[in-house]
Amino acid sequence: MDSVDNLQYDIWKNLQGKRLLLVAMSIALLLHGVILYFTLPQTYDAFVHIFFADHYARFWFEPWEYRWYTGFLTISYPPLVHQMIALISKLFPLKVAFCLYTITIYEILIVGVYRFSKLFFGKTTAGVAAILTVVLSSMIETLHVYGQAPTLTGMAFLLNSLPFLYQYFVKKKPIYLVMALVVLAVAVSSHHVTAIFGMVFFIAPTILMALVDANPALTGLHPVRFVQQMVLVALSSYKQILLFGVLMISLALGLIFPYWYWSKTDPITQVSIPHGSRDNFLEVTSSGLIFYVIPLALIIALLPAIAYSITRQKRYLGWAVSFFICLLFGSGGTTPIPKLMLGENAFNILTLDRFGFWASVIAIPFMAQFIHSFVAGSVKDFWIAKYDSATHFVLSGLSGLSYILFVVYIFHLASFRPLQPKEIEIEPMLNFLNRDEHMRWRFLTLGFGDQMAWLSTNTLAATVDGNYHSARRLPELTTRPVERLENAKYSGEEGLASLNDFLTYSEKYSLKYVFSNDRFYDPLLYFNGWNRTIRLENGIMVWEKGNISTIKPLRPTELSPLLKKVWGILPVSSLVVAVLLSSVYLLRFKEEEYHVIRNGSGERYPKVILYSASLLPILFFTFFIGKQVYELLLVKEQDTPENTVLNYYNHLDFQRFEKAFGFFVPSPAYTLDRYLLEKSMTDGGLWPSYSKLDSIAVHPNGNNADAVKAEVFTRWRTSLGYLEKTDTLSLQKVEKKWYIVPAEFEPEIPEEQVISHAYTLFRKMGKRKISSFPTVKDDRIKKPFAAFKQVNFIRSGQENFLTGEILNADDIPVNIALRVSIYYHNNEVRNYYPGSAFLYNNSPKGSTFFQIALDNTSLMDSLQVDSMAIYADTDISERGYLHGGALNYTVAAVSTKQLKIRAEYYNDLTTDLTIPGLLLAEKDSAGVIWQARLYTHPQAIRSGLHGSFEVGFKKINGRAQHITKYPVGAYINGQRRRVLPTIPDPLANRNHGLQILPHCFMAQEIYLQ
Amino acid sequence: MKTHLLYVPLLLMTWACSQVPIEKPVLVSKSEIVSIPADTLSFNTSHSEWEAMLYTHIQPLKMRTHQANGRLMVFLLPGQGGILEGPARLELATGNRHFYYPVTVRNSVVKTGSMKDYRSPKTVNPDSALAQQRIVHIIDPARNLLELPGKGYFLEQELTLDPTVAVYRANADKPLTAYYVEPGSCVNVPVQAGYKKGNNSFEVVVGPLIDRHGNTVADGTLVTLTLRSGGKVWHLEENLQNGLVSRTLPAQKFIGFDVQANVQDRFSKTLKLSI
Repeated sequence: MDSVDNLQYDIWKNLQGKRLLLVAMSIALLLHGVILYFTLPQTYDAFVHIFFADHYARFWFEPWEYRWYTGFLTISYPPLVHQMIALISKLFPLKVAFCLYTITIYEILIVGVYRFSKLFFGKTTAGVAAILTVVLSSMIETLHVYGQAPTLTGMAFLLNSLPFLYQYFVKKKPIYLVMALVVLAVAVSSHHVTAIFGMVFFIAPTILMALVDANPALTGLHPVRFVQQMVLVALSSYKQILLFGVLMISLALGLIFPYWYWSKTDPITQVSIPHGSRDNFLEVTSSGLIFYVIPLALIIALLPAIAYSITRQKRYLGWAVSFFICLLFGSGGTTPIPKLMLGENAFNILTLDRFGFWASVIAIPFMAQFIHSFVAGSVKDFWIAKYDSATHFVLSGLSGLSYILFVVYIFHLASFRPLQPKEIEIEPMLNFLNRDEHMRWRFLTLGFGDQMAWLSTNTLAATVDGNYHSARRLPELTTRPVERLENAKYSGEEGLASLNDFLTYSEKYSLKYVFSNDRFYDPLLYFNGWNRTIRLENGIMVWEKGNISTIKPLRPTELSPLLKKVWGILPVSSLVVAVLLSSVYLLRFKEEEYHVIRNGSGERYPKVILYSASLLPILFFTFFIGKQVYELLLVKEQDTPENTVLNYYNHLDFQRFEKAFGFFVPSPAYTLDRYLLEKSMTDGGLWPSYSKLDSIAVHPNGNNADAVKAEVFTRWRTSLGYLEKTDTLSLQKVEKKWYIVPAEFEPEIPEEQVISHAYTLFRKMGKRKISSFPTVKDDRIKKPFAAFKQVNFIRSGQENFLTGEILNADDIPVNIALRVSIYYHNNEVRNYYPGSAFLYNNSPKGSTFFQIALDNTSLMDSLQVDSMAIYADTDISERGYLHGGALNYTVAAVSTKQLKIRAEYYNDLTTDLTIPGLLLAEKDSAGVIWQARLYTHPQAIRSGLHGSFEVGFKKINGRAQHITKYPVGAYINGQRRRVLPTIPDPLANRNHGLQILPHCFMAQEIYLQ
Repeated sequence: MKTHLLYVPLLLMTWACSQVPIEKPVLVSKSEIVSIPADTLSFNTSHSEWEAMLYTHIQPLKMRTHQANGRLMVFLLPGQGGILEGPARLELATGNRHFYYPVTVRNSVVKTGSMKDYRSPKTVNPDSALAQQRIVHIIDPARNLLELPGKGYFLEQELTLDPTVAVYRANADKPLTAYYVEPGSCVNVPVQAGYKKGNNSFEVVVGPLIDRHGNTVADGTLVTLTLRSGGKVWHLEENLQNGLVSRTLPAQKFIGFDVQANVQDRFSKTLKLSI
């Protein structure tokens, strides 16, 4: 009877690990397989990898991808993952293909963790490790938040290779070397970073552990003696190590040789892009949460047990070093040590969260060991013996529950902390790009997040932006720490400056269309000459710039045809070979008990470890969940005057007006309706409709316990620059809560009951013949006439610019594109374009000033100007030629060089002047324009109402030079034209040399602008 | 047995590589100029199952064939509206063998063509010139150029257009042939201002604005009213409609102001707003 029991027990022990593995794989399939499709659009990287997959699906052997950054080589990223998704996409849609691939890889990863864990402990513990992999926060985050399929693939195959490598060094059988190499080859083909750092953090400790296990005598030695002997053992095994090293490096170089070739011939020289994983997590706690606390939560909670186990045996020495270094590097800039160890350059290039991910992988077996012990081993026995089984049951139940709640929180992380804009329907944009040959120009997305990659995936149209910054080579992108143009507002001044460059120099990139999902950028687009064309069915506004040339043929970076074939064949072959050899191995070579591991399944922990590791998880996760719940539901927003003001502005910033209204003293006379009405009278404009709160400071005044006045200094970020504002609020304490006292409000009451305005609107008629020919000649509309009234080259210190005035001489509204070309002595030609000091659209017979900034004086003088030319291209304009309401102004001289303009608009239009603006030109007595400037006022002016503001203006006439020694050619629509003679401007002469034109942005009625 | 089985694929391969030679069919018809649909081309050939395709300059046309007694007949059928005349190639194909025969094709029935009347420039502004170039030709439904009666294939003319603003058509029934005479710039800027007691306001009227040919200046033309009093300047922009702009200004605000209108580089006289 005993023997039968023992037999059953042995079978159970033997099968238990595999059963747990199967359970883990099943749960993973059910859990991640179902959820992945829904979390995919919210991830950071999934769409980038799908875009690459789409590239291979379309052009397998052609690595030149023209759709991003005016072209880049896809050999800049190992291809296997993308190629596999591309192959699956031949049967399924791309998103489904990505999910199918990734869930398959996750299953392989679980098997990898199981096999990896068996290097340390028994099969049951390995089974627990497999289950842990399914719910480990670092894995969940990598999959559902980052969407990093290549990282998971690299890790899955790396872990699967380690047991083979271990066996090779222990048993010295060539089959294990072959298997280790073929599996590692897949890791190399999938993710180069995992392969490179895997050599250090995973392969080296595995070899070390194998050498120790192959020489049992080493374990009993004194640590110093152990290290000495280890060196000797390693030296004695040099043939094995050398063979493996040489073959491994050959594989790594050979399989993805085009990648190394690209790295060498076209190295990354761009300015480092800030990444949250490099922050000091104690200062930037949000980065700490995302990049350290969440992925390493369980590791932190079980750190006492992990640290104890991993330092207990000498065979773990390598793993202990790897684990603690990864844990340290993963902490980013919290301490200076990672930067010191990695070096400034590597620190600023690498995203350090991956080190935390690797630390979590190394910790899995040791966590599984403790959890197994806690659930069914020595730790459980301790708790039952010390207390009772009920205590242990409650403790395990609560620990498990708190961790499950934590995992649920991670799955819903995107809901609590939106990582991406809401999902955007892309069909309307695809239809737009497909029709009327819109694909012949480049487009740009704004406010799309990583969904811009999904749009690119589904179209053959090209964008100047992209979502793989390592491949960027445009100087305008690489010289600024900006990840993408589409989210430029999150990159501060540098981001907006970079975006401004592209919007201004759009002709250079054939950039004609902008899909905007964020009205924050509207002012920048409008004042840089972009016109709203159409609002698509999905709410996306399409902006267009007139007179942009179509994409010019670009010569792709040369790459040998052989390398193209190598790139298309070898990586996939590595996976095919790995699958085939694995089958052969399982059928012919696999031994029943192939491990020769001396694992410590009966681990006993000291009391201090036992208590801390048992109690920390429940404390940690309960605290974490409690904190989240508190922040979401229970935070006291009005406990102090400062908090009241801060939270009020926070709600205003996010346009939660009903919540903001709750901060006012409750009163039947001050209702939500009244608050919204008052707000609508004063609201709008650059602030706050097109701005985000950048910083705020609150200074309460007075010692009254129940009433204070607070000065609020706010700084708002807009696409036209920063705005600063100071408000004074009265606060009152009512029943332990602070409230804002509504300010007295006296609105301007217009005299009229209804106002009317007669507009003359224009519509360009399409006469295109419907045929397979793009455009028949009869359809061409003439280029409207225009004339330069004056063109002047002005030098003011280091600043140089071309100023002037251009007239729409035609009977129809015109859109004008200006370009200045400077011809230098060395035959170099540089082009410059106007920024915001220009009315791009003009009514018939309307004229506008312009100013086009050139290079600085030192550069221009060193290059030696030969001549310059200004080119104007015109097109019929349908919108944007109405510039504002009735403007009145007075100009006063503050000093000989400083003027003060008091301007007032009366809005006689039927639409708000959303951003009132002035185009100012400084003229001398002869009428020569010395400078042109745009001024915008942040407050909107409603129909029928007035708005006034003051503007300071600095004159440059007298200290700047009007340089006439260089010939300036003027061209209209390609034809040389005479510049009209400059005539004095009596009105400007009466106003201290200043002439003013209205230049307002009207957001409401797009057919007007 | 195994050895014998190996011979099977080898035999199959040998058989697959063999091909019966096909002789090029011999064209029996004498003339290389063929009229469509009247003519039929005749070939001598021992092979059967021929397909015929006629390649003109712009289109491939599948031809009907009939074969009997070693003779292949190719019936030349026109495309819709005839065929584009000129050199063409007839292709005879069987399997993957193709033979080509140069021919010159003509339409056997000459159809009536339509006249094309091109004008350049299509938009004329009398500020610059009223000259227009005209080119005329006739084209049949198959896009063959037809001779103009006694004038060759193209007629070119230099025209001076009437300065009256209108949309004209070169071909009365075709909107695509429209050309346009647009108004020019105004020659002067008349302005009037009157006080309206009823609503205590000034009515400033600019216009009618006409060009040098008497045409009303285009709708939408920007008219700027500048009102000055002391150091204060009002800048009002209006768009012309039917040659006129009118603006009502409250008297209590604008009394004593000087008002001047300007269009492009033309300025009106200055008026003082007074009751």
